[in-house]
Amino acid sequence: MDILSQLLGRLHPLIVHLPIGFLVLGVLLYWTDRKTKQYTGLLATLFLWAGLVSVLACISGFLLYQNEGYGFDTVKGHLWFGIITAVFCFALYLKWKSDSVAVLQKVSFPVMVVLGLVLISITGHKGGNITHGEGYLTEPLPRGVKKALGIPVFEELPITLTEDSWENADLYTEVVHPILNNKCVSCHGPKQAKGELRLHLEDGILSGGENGEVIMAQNPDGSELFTRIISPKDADGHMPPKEKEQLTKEEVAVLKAWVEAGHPFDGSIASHGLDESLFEPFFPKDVEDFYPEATLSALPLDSLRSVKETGLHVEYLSKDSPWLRVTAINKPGFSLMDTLALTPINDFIVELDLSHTAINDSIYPYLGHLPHLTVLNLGQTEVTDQGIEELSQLSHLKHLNLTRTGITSNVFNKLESFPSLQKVYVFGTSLPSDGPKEIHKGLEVDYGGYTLPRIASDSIIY
Amino acid sequence: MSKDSLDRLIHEKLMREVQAQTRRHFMKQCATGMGGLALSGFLASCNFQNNGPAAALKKGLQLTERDLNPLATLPPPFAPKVKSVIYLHMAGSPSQLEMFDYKPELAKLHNQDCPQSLLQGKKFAFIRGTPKLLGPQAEFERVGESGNWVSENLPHFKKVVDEVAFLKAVNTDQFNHGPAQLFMHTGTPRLGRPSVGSWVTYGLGSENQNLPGFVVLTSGGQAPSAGKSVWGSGFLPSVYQGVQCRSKGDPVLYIDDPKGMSRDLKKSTIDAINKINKAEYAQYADPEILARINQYEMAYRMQIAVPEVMNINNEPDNIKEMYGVEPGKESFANNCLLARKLVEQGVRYVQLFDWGWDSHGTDHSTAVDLGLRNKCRQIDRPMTALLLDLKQRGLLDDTLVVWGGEFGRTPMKENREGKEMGFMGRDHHGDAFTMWMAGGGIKKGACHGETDEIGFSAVDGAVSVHDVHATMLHLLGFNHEQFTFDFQGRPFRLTDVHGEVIKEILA
Repeated sequence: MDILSQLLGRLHPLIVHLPIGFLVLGVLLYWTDRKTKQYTGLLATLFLWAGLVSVLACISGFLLYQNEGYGFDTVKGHLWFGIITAVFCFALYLKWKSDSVAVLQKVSFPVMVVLGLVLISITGHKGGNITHGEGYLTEPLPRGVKKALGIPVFEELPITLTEDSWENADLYTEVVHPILNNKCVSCHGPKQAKGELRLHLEDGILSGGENGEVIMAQNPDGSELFTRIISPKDADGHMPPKEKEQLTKEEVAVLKAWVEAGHPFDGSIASHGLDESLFEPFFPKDVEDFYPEATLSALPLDSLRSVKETGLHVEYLSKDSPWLRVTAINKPGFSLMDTLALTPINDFIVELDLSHTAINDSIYPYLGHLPHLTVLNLGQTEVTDQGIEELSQLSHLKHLNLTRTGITSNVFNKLESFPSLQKVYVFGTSLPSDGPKEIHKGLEVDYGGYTLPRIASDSIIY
Repeated sequence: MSKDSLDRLIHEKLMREVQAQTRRHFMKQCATGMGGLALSGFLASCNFQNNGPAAALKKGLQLTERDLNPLATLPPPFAPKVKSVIYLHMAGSPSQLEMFDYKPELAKLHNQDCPQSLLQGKKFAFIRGTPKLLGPQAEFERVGESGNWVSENLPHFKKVVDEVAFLKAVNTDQFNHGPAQLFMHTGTPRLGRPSVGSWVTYGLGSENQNLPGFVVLTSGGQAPSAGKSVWGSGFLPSVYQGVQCRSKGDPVLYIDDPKGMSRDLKKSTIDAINKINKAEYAQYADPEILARINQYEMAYRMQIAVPEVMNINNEPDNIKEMYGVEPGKESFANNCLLARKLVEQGVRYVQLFDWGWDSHGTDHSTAVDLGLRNKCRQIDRPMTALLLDLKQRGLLDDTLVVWGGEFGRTPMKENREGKEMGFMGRDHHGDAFTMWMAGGGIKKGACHGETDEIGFSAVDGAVSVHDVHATMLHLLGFNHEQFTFDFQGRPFRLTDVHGEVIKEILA
C-alpha cells in the first residue's frame, strides 16, 4: 500500500497536466464557440472531466507531500489553491450543465472561464516554485525589470576594507557575510535553500542544514561549512559546485580564521585579534592599467590586411582588446613613406616598434599623431633629439626606447615635458652611463652599459 | 573406407586449411577492412575530417592566416605581460643548498644521522639505509635591497638579485632525470605531451617570418636525459616543436646548401616546386598546398636569417666580455647571448639546457664543493649578463626568464649502495627546491616559499610544477584552465587538472 501511495504521489507532476489541459481546452472552446453555441454540452463534460482529474491531482499531490517530507509551510499555498481549483471546476460544470444553481446564476460565463484560468495558473505556478525554487521563472529577467517588478535581485556585496580602516571593520558583517553572500547564498539563501541550508542570516548559519550543524566552534576541520570548501574540486560534496565560481585562497583563509575565532557575529576585526595579512588582499589596489582605457571598438581584421601587405607586423594586444601592436620586425626597410599605410589605424596603435629600421628624425611628426601610443621603440635607428618634442603631445606614452640612436644630452630637457613617460632607455648612445637615474619624479632612465668586472673567483677552477 | 579413416581425412583437410590461413593471408584479405577502420580512427584523432583547412573551405568558411602559415600570430586571450620566454634549465638539477636556500641549522647537524622520520615512505634514487646530513658547502650572504640569500658560488648574480623573484619551495613528484625533465617541460612525466614552448608557439605564433618560433640551445656536452621530447610538440602539429640550434658548427643541421648547389639554383628549384604547387592549388583549392608553399619560402629565408642571428662574432667586445662568451665553442655563455639575440629578433620561446648539474659526489666533477662550483662559475656570469643585457635594451619588460632544474637535491650526503663515499654529493630530491623568474610582470626581489630548517620539505608557500606552468601561461596572456587542444576525443591542457597561478611573485 505504501508503495502504491508513494508511486501515485510521484505521478503528481504528470497528473497535474490533465486538469490544465482540460481547463485550457474548455476555455478555448468556449471562446471559439461563443457565437454559435453548439458545444455547450461538450463544455459541461470537459469541465466535469477537469474537476475529476483535479481531484486526482489533489490526492496524488497530497500523497507526494505526505511521503516525500515536504514541510506544510512549503506546500500550503499550492495545496489550497489546488483544492479551490478542483472545486471551481465542478462549479464550471454545474454552470454549463444547467445554470440552475442560484449562486452561479449571478456570475456571467466569461467571468467564470477567466476565473478558472487564473486559478489554474496560480496553482501551477505555486507548484512550479516548489519544484524549481522560488523565483525560477523570473530569474532570466534583466536586473532592471526585476527591480521594477519588486523581485529581490541577487546583489554582490563588495568587501571594502582599506589599510586605515580594516581594524575597525566588523568581522562578520563587512567580511564574512559578503563572502558567504557572493559565493554561497544564491543556492543557500532566501530564494533557495539547498540542503535546507541558509547562509544569509545568523540563524541559518547556526541552525545548519539537513545534516545538522555546519560549524563546530573554533574547529574549522570539524566544520562542514569549511571542509566542503577546501575539499578537492572533484570530491563528493565539494562546495561551491565545481562549475560555480570558487572561493579564493584569501576568502578561505578569512573563513577559517573566523571559525577559529568561534564564528562571532559581532565585533571588529581588531577585537578578535586577527592579523592584517589575512585582510590585506582585500585592500583596494590602485592598479592603473598600463594601456589607455579602450573606448574604441576593434577594427575588423580585414581592415588590417592592407597594413599587413606592406610587410609590417600588426596584431591585437589581446583577444578582446581593440589596441594594436605594430612592429617592423619583418620590414627593416621601413621608412616614412610606409606610414601612409598606417594612417587608418593610427588611433588604435598602442605599441610601435620601429627598431632596426631606416627611419630618421622625419618620423617624429607622424609619431605625434598616434594618440594612444604607449610603448615606442626607436632603438638602433638614425633618429636624434631633433624634433623629439613632437612626442610630448602623446598623453599616454610611457616607455620610450632610444637605445643606440643619435640622441644627445639635450634630450632630457625635452623629455621633461612628456606627460606620462615612465621609462626611457638610452643604452648605447653618447650619454654617459653615470648620468642621473631619475630626471624627475616618475621618469626613470636606463643608461645601460652594465659591466661585470672580472673578479678573482672567475679564474679559480676547483 | 571406414568411418574412422574418413574422419581422419576430414580432420587433415581442416588442418591444412587452417595452416593455409597465414598472417600474410590475414593482412591481404583483411587489409581493406582493417585499413579503413584504422584510417577513420586516425583521421578522426587528427581532427582531419572536421577541422582541417580543406574542410573549412568546403563549408565555405573563410581561411585564416593560420591556415596558410601555422606560425602566424594570434592574440592571447588576455593582455599579456610578456611576449617571449627564455627558460634556463640546469639539466641534472643544481643543489639549491649550495646556491640559494641557506640552511644554517643544517651546518650544525652536519655528519649526524638523518632522522628516520624523514626517510619513512620516501624513495631516493641512490641513498640507501640511513644517510648522514650534509651541511651547506658554501658561504651565504643576504644581498641587494630585497636581502635575499645568495651563496658565494654566484658572486656576479648578487648584482641582479633584486631583479628576480625566488620560488624556494617548488615540488615535483619525480625523482629521476628523464621523467622529471618531461614533467618540467610538458606537464607530465610520460612521453607524448607538448612542451611549454610548443604550447606557447601554438597559442601565439611567432612574429619573425624568417626565424623559428621556438629555439632550443644546449650546452655542457650532453643533451638532457629525457631527449628531444622535452622540446617536442606531442599531439600538437609538429611545426610547433622546438628547433635545436647549435652554437658550434652549423647553427641548424643541414641548413647549408649541399656542395654544387648555389643559392640561385636553390631559389629556382623552390620557385619551380612552388609553381607546380600553385597549379595544384588552382585545381584542387586545398589550402594545405598554400601552407606548403609558405613553408618552402620560409625555409629559404631561414637559410640566411638563422646563421645571421646565430653569429655572435659581430657583437661588440664589451658585450662578449660581459657574457664571457667563447666563440666557436659550445657554451652556456654563448647560448645566453644567443638567447638575447633571438628574443630581440622576435623569437617566442628560447629553451636553454646546460648539462652537468647532477652533483651526486661520485667523483670530483659531481662533488658539491668542487665540480658544482665550476658549474656555478660557468653560469654565474652569463645568466647575470643576460638579465642586465635584456634590461638595458628594454627587453626585460616583455621577456620572462625562468631558471631551475628538474628537481632539487637532498640535505643528506649521498651514500651510494649504503657506503660512505669519497666526495661530498647530494641525491635527487623533489620535495622542495629553488627556482627563480625575472622579467615582465614579475615582482622584483620577491621570495615565495620556505623550507624547513634543514631544507628537506616545504613549510610555507609550496608550489608545484603545474603552478609554475600556470604562472608562465598567465604572464603570456592565457588562462591555463582554458588553453586547451582537442585530441583523442577530449580537451588537453598543459596543466592537466592542476595548477594555480603563483600570485605572490607577480607584480
